[in-house]
Amino acid sequence: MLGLLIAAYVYLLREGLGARLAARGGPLYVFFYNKWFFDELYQATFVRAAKFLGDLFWKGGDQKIIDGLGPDGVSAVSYAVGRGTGRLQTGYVYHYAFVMLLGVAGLLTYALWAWNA
Amino acid sequence: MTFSTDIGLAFPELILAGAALLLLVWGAFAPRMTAAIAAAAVVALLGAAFAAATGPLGRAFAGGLIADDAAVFAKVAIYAASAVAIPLGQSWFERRGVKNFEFPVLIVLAALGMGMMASAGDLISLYVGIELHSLALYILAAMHREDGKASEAGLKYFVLGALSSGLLLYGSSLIYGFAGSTVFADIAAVAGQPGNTGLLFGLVFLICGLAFKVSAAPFHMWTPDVYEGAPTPVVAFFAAAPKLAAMVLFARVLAEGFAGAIPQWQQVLVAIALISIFVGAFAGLAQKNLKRLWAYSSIANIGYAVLGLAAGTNEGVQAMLVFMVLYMIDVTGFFACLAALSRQGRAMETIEDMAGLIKQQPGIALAMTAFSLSALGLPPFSGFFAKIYVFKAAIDGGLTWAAVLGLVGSVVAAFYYLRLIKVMWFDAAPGATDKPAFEARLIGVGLALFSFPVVVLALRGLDQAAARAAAAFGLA
Amino acid sequence: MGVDGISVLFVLLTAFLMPLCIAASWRSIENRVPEYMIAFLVLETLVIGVFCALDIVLFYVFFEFGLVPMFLIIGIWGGARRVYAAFKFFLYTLLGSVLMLAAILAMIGVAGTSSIPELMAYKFDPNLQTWLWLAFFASFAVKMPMWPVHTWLPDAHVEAPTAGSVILAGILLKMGGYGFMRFSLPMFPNASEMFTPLVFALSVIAVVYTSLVAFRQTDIKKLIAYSSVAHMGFVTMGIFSGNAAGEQGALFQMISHGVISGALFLCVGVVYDRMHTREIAFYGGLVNRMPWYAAVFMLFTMGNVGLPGTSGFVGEILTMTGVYQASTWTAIVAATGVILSAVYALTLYRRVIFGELANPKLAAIEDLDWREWVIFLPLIVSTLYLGVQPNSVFNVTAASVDQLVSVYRAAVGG
Repeated sequence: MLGLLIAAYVYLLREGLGARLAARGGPLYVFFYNKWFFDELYQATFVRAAKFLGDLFWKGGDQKIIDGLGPDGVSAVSYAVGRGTGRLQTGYVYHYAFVMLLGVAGLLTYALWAWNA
Repeated sequence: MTFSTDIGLAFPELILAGAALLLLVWGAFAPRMTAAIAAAAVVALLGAAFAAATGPLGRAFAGGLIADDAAVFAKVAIYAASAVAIPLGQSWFERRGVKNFEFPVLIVLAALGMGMMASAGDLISLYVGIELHSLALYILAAMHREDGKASEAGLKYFVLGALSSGLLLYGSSLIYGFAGSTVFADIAAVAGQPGNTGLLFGLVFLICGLAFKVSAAPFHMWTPDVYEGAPTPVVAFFAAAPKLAAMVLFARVLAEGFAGAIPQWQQVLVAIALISIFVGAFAGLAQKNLKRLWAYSSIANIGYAVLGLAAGTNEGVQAMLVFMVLYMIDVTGFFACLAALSRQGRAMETIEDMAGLIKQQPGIALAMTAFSLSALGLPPFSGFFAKIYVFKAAIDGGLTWAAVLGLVGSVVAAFYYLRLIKVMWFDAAPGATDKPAFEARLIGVGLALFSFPVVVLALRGLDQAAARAAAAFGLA
Repeated sequence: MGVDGISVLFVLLTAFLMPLCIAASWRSIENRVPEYMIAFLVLETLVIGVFCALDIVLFYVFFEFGLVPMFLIIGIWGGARRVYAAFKFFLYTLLGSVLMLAAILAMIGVAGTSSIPELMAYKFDPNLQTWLWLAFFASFAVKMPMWPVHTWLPDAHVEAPTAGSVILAGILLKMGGYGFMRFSLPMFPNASEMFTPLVFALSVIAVVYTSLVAFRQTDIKKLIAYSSVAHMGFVTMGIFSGNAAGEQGALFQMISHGVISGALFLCVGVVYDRMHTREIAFYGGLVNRMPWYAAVFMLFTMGNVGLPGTSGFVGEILTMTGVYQASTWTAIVAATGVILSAVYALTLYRRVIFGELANPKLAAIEDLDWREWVIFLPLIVSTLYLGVQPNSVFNVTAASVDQLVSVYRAAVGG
């Protein structure tokens, strides 16, 4: 209602006032002309925030944390473990025999511990 | 128990022993007639399988030899697998210009030893059976004399095998010392009583020796080297029948001799099973040679079989038997495919060699895909049903956590099977492959068809046979 | 094998999308066509098997073997990083499923049956339910996918050929939701109730988090993939709201998402077939050259946003109603997800379709041909039909959903 009255006053009763106001280019006019700077406000807050969060979640969350700790990390660790185990496979019979005897000793120790527990 | 009934119970073994001697003499006088000798060996093996399946049941030689449903089950599978190995190996050796009649004879001797293992009723026949088949296997590994790697493999296997025999003997002597008998049934009476740490110590040694034979970790170190070096068809034999024989023996010792000490050996077996599963899964990741890869795969798979056994129940033994038979079929088929393949006369043994195989050799590539998926435990292939049996037995036997860990291990192992499939299906072939050997291809593709879809039909029969066999061990 | 009001929809959806996929591959797949067709038909068989299985082991067999054809489809006919994507897809899903397998074996051991109807009737011990629920959750959450185990999806979607993406988004993801409704809720009601806050939390995170991530994508397919994760967040919320509106909404949302996201991937496929790139920045101003395409894409974008009149709206509003009854806060936070979905979907649309036709390579791009029209027409019709006549779905599902909800309510005593 108020807006209607003001508009009627500016444009109908005092013909030419609107044009003069516009030409003067006061801050109030600029504020209204740019729709209260709503788009800019949005741009500054929501859009920037959404872009920032989106990047954060995507690059940091998905790629670094989830993939890094999850599939990529696990596969890298698995491969390293596999390489390490493979390196034990020296080809020397005495190494193999040594591992076997270690196995016997280990199993006996484990068995004694487990039976008593 | 008269001598003649004892002989009747040992009839399958006698067939094989006689056949081995006769073939040896025949070969010595007519070394060129390799094909005929091989055919005769196959006939002898199938005859022995038939004799075992139809023969009488009972105990012979003062409990030293047992012919029960479990022994029958194992022998039929072992002799059949040995019979398959002969044509496979014979053609492979001939294509490489090696004409030797010893190969079928050695297989027959190994089969004889494995039959004895399946029937062993005391520590003496256990040891004799193991040594008999091991000696044949040592020679088989080094059969390809011109190949330095094969000789190395044979020697390594022999030296480490001797060490494991030492463990077995030491364990046996401890058990004998504490129990006062070598017969499993008598040991059982002592093992049930509390406070028998010495006896159980002996059992642990015995388990270690047997674990070497089935290549369970941490006694697996020989496996990758021997598989890589030994001729491919020999590996096809190695990875199948001897493992079943040793697993049945394992079950026999534990169930008949130490039924009273289930909680004690259960813990040791779970440890061995889990170590095997994880060693097999992780170490396989970094392998480039397919034979080494499948060596690690076999270590992991034996881990599953041991896990089934570790349940300590009738169901667990049945699961182990079903698992081993289905696994034998997969592994024999896979190595048969591998034996069939070559590119410009050079054997294809690395993963990279398999690039684009689906275009070059679609039949073999499909078969190898089926075996890989089966070993991965993916439905609807036989390996899936095998794993279902084992894990169900383990969970029902109260080993839920071990079963979950085992399943997680199978996911790790999935990577290397998938990589093989990826190379075969996604990558481009570097060049044409040679025409595959007929027998090897036939065996490979035939066994792949068993892996799926025949297994669906055969499973019921296998289930019942394994159930009967497992019942013979008399666990709860 | 058998169907009820829940599974029949998925079977129909599968049978509906598969021919469209095959038609969509007509031009884009040039090598190894027979294998491609075999892979798709095997996949269709397996998927229908999953939805129809009445035996839990059979269900698992179909569920698991479905990985193989999809692995091959991504790996053989996929994009540049196809091998990585295929392995990630396979191993991720496999890890989830083996845990479910352990649970299945335990259930069979306890209940002594593998028949799904009998297992539904069996009352599991609440303590055991917790473990079983977690194991099933591991599998279905990966399949769905839920945050934080969703990262295989963008990779798989981007690398898969168009038809593969359609099947993945349209059908395979629905197996997770189907599994929750078929197993988790009716078989482990106490555990489901206990874990509802967890599911709500993860779903809300999925909705907001992946919407924001989708907003920042530069690849069209990846954007749609992330939007799928967000939409699936609504579905899980709806399922675990435990009331009829939520269940109906989740079901409807799954069907609608199957149609719309499938259509969106096909839209991407249209321009990809012509230009062989999916970079958003490459496009712009397509409306000048491809007005019909712009219209079709507009419709499905609106469906994705959930504009009233399209099927997307019905699913979202019902799900939100159901969730609101169960947890107000969840519904409020999730509502921001609806806004965010409008943000990323409309941004994508604006950047691809509107503006000046800046890129000279696009000057000769052609509008939809008759084959593409044949593919899109059924999708357009179903999107709009479901949007204005949702009862056609609800009539089918009502009985099964009521049954599910009453069983669940009875078990948790509410």
